[in-house]
Amino acid sequence: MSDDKKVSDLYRKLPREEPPRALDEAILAASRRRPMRWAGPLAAAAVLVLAVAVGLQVERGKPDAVVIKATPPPVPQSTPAPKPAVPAPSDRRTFAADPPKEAPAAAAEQIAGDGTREAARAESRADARGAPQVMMRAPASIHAPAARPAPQAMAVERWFLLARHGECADVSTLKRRVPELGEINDPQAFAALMRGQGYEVTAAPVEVPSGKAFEIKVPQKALALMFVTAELCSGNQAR
Amino acid sequence: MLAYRDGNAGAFETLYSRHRGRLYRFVLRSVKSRAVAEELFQEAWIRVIEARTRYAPQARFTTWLYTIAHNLLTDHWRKKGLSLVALDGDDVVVSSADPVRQIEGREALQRFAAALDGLPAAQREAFLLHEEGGLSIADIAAATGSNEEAAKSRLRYAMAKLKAAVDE
Repeated sequence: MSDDKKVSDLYRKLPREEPPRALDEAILAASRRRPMRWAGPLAAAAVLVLAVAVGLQVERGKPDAVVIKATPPPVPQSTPAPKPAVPAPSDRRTFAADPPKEAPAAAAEQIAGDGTREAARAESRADARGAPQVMMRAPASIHAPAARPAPQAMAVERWFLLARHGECADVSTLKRRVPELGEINDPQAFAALMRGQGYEVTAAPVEVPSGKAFEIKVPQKALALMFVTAELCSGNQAR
Repeated sequence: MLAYRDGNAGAFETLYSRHRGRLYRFVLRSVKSRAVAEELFQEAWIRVIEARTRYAPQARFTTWLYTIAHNLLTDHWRKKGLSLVALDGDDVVVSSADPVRQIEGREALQRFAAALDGLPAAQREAFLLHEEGGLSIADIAAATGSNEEAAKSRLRYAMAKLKAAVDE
């Protein structure tokens, strides 16, 4: 018997530790909770239906909003996410299949610091999973607590994306970065779309002297967007 | 993993059952505390789950899985310092019927376990990746971010020390 085989045989005689059943169940449960690949398009479809429904409601009951058309300049592009590659352990950030710190569960992990990681993940997953339901129930629920404009008011507004030099771009220009954008054209619906896909989203209104502004960040997609209404585009229309 | 990526949730259960025991032992025998091992083990699988939609088979799944574990252990060691493995006084199973041989066998196994605990971290890791992960020298090098010569050397030294401990 070779020396290596002898060592291997001895190793095999050591206790064959197995993970506890509770750990197995927690991991398997997490695998089942993660959004499946079809959840993104499904969430987009749900958002689209809601946006159309709200739009129709508004059309029936409110005066037409002033619509200012703008010729959209290119939306500033952020560096695209790296493609998956064989990991280089000396630089874990290039291990593309090893998710970045900004993974959807990362915020929840910070909340749970005593080993209740799974519970924290369950919370963040429930939040992502529940996003389409949140949209169906109350669009206003995704707003920052400090400012809760009425959903109807949000839907009346025509929104644009504020570009780098102050010009406004049509929201549809986001399709290059978010192909599943569909007909979404307001920050509320966009935030719900991103959350429905499992992304961590920060969304907050911005105080402006006139009109409305809403900042939305999706770190995992390298998106930092400023949705604005037409008032903030006046005098800065792109040609 | 590709099946899981493409929406087959049951594929993960198959994947998990295939690798759970080996990965668990790899992590357990690399850190001091069973609680820490369980946390790192769970974190490794959570990373697999979270990376599912971006998974592209540019390396063997096993190599990728153990690279995740290696990275987690590296972070752990960086924060806590190197720790010896503690196999918490579990009973040793000896198959021989001869009582004398049983005692000798049990003692040899205990020496082996202690020697494994006492290996330098990099050598112990190379040995565990080989024994539990079934990784080749090339895969060990890829998983640990080293080159094949270093991986081969670490494994050789580990084997030699473990053998020497048993032959005492």
